[in-house]
Amino acid sequence: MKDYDIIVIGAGSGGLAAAVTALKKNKRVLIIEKRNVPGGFSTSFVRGRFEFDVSLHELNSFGAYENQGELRRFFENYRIAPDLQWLQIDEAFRLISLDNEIDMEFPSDVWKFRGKLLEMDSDADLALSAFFKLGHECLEAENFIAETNGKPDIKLLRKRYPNYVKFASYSLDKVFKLLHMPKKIKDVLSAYWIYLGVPPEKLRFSHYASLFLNYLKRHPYIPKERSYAISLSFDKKIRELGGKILYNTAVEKIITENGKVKGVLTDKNEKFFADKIISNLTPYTVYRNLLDNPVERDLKKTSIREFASCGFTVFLGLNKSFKDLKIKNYNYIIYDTLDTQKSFADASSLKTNRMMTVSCPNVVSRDYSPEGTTILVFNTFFTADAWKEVKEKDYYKIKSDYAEKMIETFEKKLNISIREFIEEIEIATPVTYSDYLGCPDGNIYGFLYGTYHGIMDDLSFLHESEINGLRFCGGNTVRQFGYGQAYLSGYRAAMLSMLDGMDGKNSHISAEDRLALNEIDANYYKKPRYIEINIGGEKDE
Amino acid sequence: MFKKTEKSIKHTEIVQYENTVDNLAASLHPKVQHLVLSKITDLQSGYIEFLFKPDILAGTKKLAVFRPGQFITFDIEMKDMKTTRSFPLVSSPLDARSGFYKIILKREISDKVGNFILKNWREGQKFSIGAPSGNFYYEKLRDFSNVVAVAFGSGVFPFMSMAKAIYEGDENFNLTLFYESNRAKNLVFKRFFDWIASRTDKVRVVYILENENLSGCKRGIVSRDMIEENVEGGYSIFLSGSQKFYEYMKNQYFNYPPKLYRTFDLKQSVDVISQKNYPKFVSSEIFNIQVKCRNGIKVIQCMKNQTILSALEKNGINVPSGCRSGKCALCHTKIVAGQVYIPDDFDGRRIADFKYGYIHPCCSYPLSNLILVVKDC
Ligand SMILES: Cc1cc2nc3c(=O)[nH]c(=O)nc-3n(C[C@H](O)[C@H](O)[C@H](O)COP(=O)(O)OP(=O)(O)OC[C@H]3O[C@@H](n4cnc5c(N)ncnc54)[C@H](O)[C@@H]3O)c2cc1C
Ligand code: FES
Repeated sequence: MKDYDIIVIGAGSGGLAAAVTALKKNKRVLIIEKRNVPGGFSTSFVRGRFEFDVSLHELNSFGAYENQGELRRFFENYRIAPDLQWLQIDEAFRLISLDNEIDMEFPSDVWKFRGKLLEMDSDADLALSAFFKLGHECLEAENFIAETNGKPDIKLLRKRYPNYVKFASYSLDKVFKLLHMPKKIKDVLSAYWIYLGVPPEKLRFSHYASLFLNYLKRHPYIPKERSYAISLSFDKKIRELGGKILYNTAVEKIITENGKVKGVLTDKNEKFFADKIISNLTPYTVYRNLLDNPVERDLKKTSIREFASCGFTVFLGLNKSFKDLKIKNYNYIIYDTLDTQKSFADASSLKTNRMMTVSCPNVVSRDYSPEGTTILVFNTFFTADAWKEVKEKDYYKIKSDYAEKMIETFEKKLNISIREFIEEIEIATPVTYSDYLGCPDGNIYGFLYGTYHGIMDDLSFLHESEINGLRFCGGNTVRQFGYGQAYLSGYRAAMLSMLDGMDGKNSHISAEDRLALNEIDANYYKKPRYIEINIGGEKDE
Repeated sequence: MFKKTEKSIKHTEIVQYENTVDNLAASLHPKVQHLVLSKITDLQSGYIEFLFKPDILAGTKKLAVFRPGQFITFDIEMKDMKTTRSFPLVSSPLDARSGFYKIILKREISDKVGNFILKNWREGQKFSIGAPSGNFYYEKLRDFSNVVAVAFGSGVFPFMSMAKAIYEGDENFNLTLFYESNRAKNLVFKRFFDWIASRTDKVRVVYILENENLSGCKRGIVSRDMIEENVEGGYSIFLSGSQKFYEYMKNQYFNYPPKLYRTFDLKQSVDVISQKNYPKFVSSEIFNIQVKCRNGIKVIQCMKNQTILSALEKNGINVPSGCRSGKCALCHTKIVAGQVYIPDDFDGRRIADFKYGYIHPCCSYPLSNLILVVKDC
């Protein structure tokens, strides 16, 4: 019995992209979503006169129409969100340290960004060239690997991306050392780690490169209508293509037989059958909660990776314009100190954590909120232990006290007042994130992208299941977290799922074949690249 | 290159995370709470109090704490329809920690559902509800520490919870309540508030009688002047009552910053036809709605002054709901064709809802025949 070709569990960004991809190939698709709206994190909420985006501050690998990133090509190809107003963000960040070591703005354009760094230290020229080249090669190599779902033709990989193979598993810090990057410049280049939840000493270079350098390459974007509009646009597309979405329905079990997927059982006690399932929920959740007989090897694979950090967000609707408030920047990154190891250690406690990002969409689009008002969103992260001590009784007080501390720090440092203009406030803690989407322990940053295992690990088959017919997509699943990744992983999961063989085996397709199959990136890989990087010193180990 | 990975997989122990935060989330925001209606008390003077305790046998060991001013929502299953009703908690967070929730109902509720509840709810009866919800609560980062509350009749319920929480130390702000009624005998909760006010300086109550003179009570109707005579310095104003009352207060507080002006929104009956921007001409008194749902298509009828949600419910089409005032988005539904009227005060639609055609049927009224797609039925 088979009701559908593919069942998608969860209509988050990954699940939606997977569904559209499969529908475009004329598959019969059912999506089952626990909540009453699509999008998961990609949603918004209203308080009074304000509509807050829950999570989108910067969309990665989108790019201008003339300079399309992989994600934009996917959206254009599938006609997703064609009618939204896309806002380009020209600013990378304003980096501030509370100990007064730095307060500087940086543009989100590779050349301008480099220019600014060179103003700080013109001797860094060579090191920077090598750094950006290496970063660029990593981006390309990772795309190549992702296209092959982590089973690239290794020979080809070595040939095309020799430096990637050599350096990608190094930490960001180690790459800095190899390049003799001056400290000042290192501090700026590292600033972005707050978005990744891992300090430069532990952050794998390739992971850093694929997020941060991607932003610089194509500028970050946001849709003026909030990320929720992207989600509704997907919903519309799915309906147009004849897909079926069941909202207000949670999947409780994945039904398997002889190591193969058979279908799902919902909380309404309905069964739906398909021999392919794409899960937008993490493997961690699926193996522990949705499968009666998980495979030991799968459980082990989910145990290798540690969860990254949990989120804390303060959404403010202010009754004064950003100009009158003297807010000049879209994106502030604020650290207590530029000593990254200390900042990271401090993130383990509510008492010591002082780093944060603050973003103000009105700077990019003045009428993002009603006239004379401003939206300001504060974010920070904690490592897992910080919220373990919080008792139910103190919860509301703790969350409001911590938000107050963040607001005060920002006010003091920038010498502006915020507090008296707060018209609406909402505070999301790890508890909120756990409650809202069930991300384990409120972890919103996927996995720690440390350097503790081989290059390929989280690019490759750590997310692949031993169960035939089961694939994963989404921000906490494949590699890296974030919107771009979530959508594209959905696309890839669907492509691969459709290829998964009739013989019951998950497909192992050569890199060459995969390239031929890929409709989006056909031209991307045409010329092999050799980039000589001028790095002296250590040997590949 | 993969060998290393294979090795690390082999040597990995299977980890089960502690999930401390998930557990905290589950106790603060439980998906279900099983309750037993443990006691029904007739408070005389037309009010009935319902006290709920956790249904331990059904697996609920303790009740979720909440913020004073929040409400709980019950699924109501009548013979011919299913619906929901929400009630503000009159008990405090400390009461929840001690193991009970309290709500109060007015006896002369004219509507069918209220009557059903009064007739059918019995001591010992079991209920399953979600976590308390709603955004009507004191927030120190936004509100003045002086809060002026104004209420009539049953509008006073959320303030009972706030006052008690202040007295018990779970909340920390100054509450001045203006509690108005036509006659002294209808100031039903005066004794409760007197009791609290005599025990904490942080709660003050000004009683107002419309048609009667009584010592300790002001005669007249509440007004901004009266409030400002009694309160010093800046204050936030919290209102709980009917939409008419909100209109009246809005005029009094014309130009007052929205920051300082908050209303408790749980839908009461709205006289939709008399709303300011309701269209002058509506083609019919009753409209057809074609509803696409999980198991096919149904055609139902809806009066022009009836919410679409109530028409759906009366026809056995289930749409989840909570606040019934356009705020919680639980009833979110796609509208494919047709026009609806949504009173401004209840319009909680997001930008993308306008763009892609979604409404909250709990506070939408038909202006033409409609086609809807509901998500769950
Ligand atoms: C505060 C914050 C800020 C962020 N900022 C950015 C940013 O600026 N840029 C960026 O790129 N990324 C950002 N992110 C990360 C990004 O939002 C996520 O990585 C991405 O949205 C994850 O998408 P996903 O596909 O994994 O699905 P999710 O959004 O996790 O959705 C999973 C879906 O599955 C559903 N579901 C769960 N269980 C079940 C079940 N049993 N049955 C059926 N359905 C189920 C859920 O309801 C949900 O809809 C941010 C995240 C947060 C929290
Ligand atoms: S029930 Fe809350 S918005 Fe309709």
